[in-house]
Amino acid sequence: MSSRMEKIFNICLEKMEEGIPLDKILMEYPDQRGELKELLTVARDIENIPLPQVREEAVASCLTKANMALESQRKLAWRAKLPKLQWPRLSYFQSPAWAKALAFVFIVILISWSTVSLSGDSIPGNLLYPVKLTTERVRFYLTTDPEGKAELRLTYSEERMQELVRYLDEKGELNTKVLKAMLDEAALTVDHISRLPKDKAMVCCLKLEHLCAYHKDVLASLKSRVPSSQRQELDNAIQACHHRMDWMGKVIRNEVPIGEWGPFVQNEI
Amino acid sequence: MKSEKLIIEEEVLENARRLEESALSILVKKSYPFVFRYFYYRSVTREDAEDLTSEVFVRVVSSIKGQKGYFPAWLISIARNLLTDYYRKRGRSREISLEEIEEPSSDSDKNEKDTLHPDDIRKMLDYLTDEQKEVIILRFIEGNTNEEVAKIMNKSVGAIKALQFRALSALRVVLKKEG
Repeated sequence: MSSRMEKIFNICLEKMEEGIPLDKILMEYPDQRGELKELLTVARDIENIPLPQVREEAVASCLTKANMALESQRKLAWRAKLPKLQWPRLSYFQSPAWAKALAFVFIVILISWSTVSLSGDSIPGNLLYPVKLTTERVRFYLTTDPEGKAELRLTYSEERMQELVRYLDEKGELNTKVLKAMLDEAALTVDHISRLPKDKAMVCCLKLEHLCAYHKDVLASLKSRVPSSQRQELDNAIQACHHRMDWMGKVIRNEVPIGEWGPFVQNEI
Repeated sequence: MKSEKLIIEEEVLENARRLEESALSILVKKSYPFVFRYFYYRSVTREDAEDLTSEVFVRVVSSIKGQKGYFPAWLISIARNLLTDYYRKRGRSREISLEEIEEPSSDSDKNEKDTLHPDDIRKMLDYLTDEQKEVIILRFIEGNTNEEVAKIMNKSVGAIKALQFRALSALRVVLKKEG
């Protein structure tokens, strides 16, 4: 019933909006005339109510606010056109987490490298001296061939000698621990030489002889600067270097076979 | 008295989308009464209706670049969102049931009631649901066709016809009871 009434009402409303008089429309539906008349009258009355006045001041105020919004909108558009200042993204790394991890690893490597480099000139008593010794040990254990190990022993022995000189310059006394380490490094070289083929062993023996001669000369030059209480130890070391140099000469001249190390295996200090 | 239908030329809209001041000014002036009446007949005080209308146009300026589709529908959707916020902040005005309407005490002001005023309509609309109110405003006060109202409210023409019938039936009962 309600659905039928709705259909009739909509037809009547359309007719009324076309300008057909209300009475003429209602004549077509005598049974629903009363209800239809009331509904159509309400619709017509609402259509005919006077509209609320729009205040000019309100429109002006609205225009002002809209213009302000327009200004800020233009500023935003202008800012959006500015090139953005940002670090170029590394295309290799899809995720920023990878870039962060890479940066972290890079920083760690940089710090480690700087520390190792700075520790190169350190002497016993310096904060970075243990770092230097650790680095040397790591490098030694990472070297696998006997020739490389022998070369490293020679290098470390020479390094100890330079530390000895610098220590004496700075502190005015002989560092016996470093002196012993210098002689030990040279003595330990022969262990690796024994494992080398003869030609290579001869080259290392030659180097070791030169090193012992060099040690002897440098230690002799230090004699006048060393306190008298430590001179005996220095003399013993010079003597040891002399004996080693002589022995090496014999090895090189084939007077003594490789493997007979004489003064190198005796603790002469 | 039926209002003038809101018609914005496509050229004005295009220029407004490019944020041209003159086009936006025309748009605001033409659309202001339509939006204002929407708020006015939705139980909002005149002052609040003016403030809300201004806010609608601030939002229009901010987002007109991406405006698509039927312009009055877009305008009403902004207004509807603002109205929801407004009701939430103020506490929703109560929709009155038809049974609550008191019988008139005398026939003294019957003659005055013969002609409806905007304020009478506002009071009567309080008895309707939000959708019924919107149909009455858009269909009979703004003078849109059923098809236009359907586009604005994003409903079918059939649904709009049903809504307007139910809304007018309810108003008929209100008028009868109020005498």
